[in-house]
Amino acid sequence: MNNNICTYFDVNTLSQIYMVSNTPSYLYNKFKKENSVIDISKNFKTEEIIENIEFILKSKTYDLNKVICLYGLIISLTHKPYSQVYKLLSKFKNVKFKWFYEIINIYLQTAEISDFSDFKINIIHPSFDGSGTTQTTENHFDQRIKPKIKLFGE
Amino acid sequence: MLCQKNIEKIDTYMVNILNHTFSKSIIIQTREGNNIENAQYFEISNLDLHMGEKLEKQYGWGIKKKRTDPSPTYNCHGMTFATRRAWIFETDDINLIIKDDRYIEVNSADVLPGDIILYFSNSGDVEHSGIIVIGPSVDNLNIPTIISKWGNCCEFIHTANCGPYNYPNVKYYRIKK
Repeated sequence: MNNNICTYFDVNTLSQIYMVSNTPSYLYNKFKKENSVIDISKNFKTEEIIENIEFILKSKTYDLNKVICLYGLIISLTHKPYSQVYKLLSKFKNVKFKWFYEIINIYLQTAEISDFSDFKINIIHPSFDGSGTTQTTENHFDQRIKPKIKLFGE
Repeated sequence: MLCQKNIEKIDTYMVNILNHTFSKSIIIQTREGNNIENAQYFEISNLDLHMGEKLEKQYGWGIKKKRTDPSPTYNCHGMTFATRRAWIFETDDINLIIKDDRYIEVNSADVLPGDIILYFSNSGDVEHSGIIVIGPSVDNLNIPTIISKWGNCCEFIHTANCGPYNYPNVKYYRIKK
């Protein structure tokens, strides 16, 4: 595992954002626009980022750098395809970081679902009589319903 | 009797308690008796303690005075709406307070000391709030002076256009009765 991902964050800028954040949505939106957060997303695989989040969450002591890094990693995932991230986020339970679930919840509520590669959908083929026939019966659209934060926290 | 919205709020509140053992909630209600979700935190880092000075330098052009030391107990909305007792951070809760407490929007030219200012993000979230201490006038180029708390950091007395928040998108409110 590459556990040095956090060294790529612009900790000074992210710390200042964290300090003046009054709401999770402020922190989420500001972190998401930060170049170092975007770069992490570009340069590391989703699995690597998730592994680093898990690594931090296993720590027995937390300092501010770890908190900043954790937020940065989670929010870097928001630049990844939704289909890659959604199932992995559901792994995190009973996390005791301030705003951890709030941030995940903001992502789930605001994510732009543009990546359909993992979803099998019904394809309606128009027939000559205009009624249409369903070719694929399996429908995974229900997976895209965005759950509430407490599903992960319980 | 609890409405559905409050039941959902209390569910979230309980989850927050379970998830954030380092925080706690207190009872905060609107005039109408609706519960406002909130949290009190207790941890403060060395960086928090030094951030006040850093921000004072960075925004020295608009900060007139650092009023308090950093505090993890409350945020700007807790200062504005809950007498510095806790963090309030959901826009839905701010909107509920505005409605239940019968705030009315005030034109920027008519702002008076004691009115409140809300800063909205481009997506409509209430990202910051404060209390007016000096209203707009020719002397201050029609930019009011406010007290507000910046996240985990300090309360500052500053011009409303100074700070890391979205000043172009502000609204002013007053309780008239």
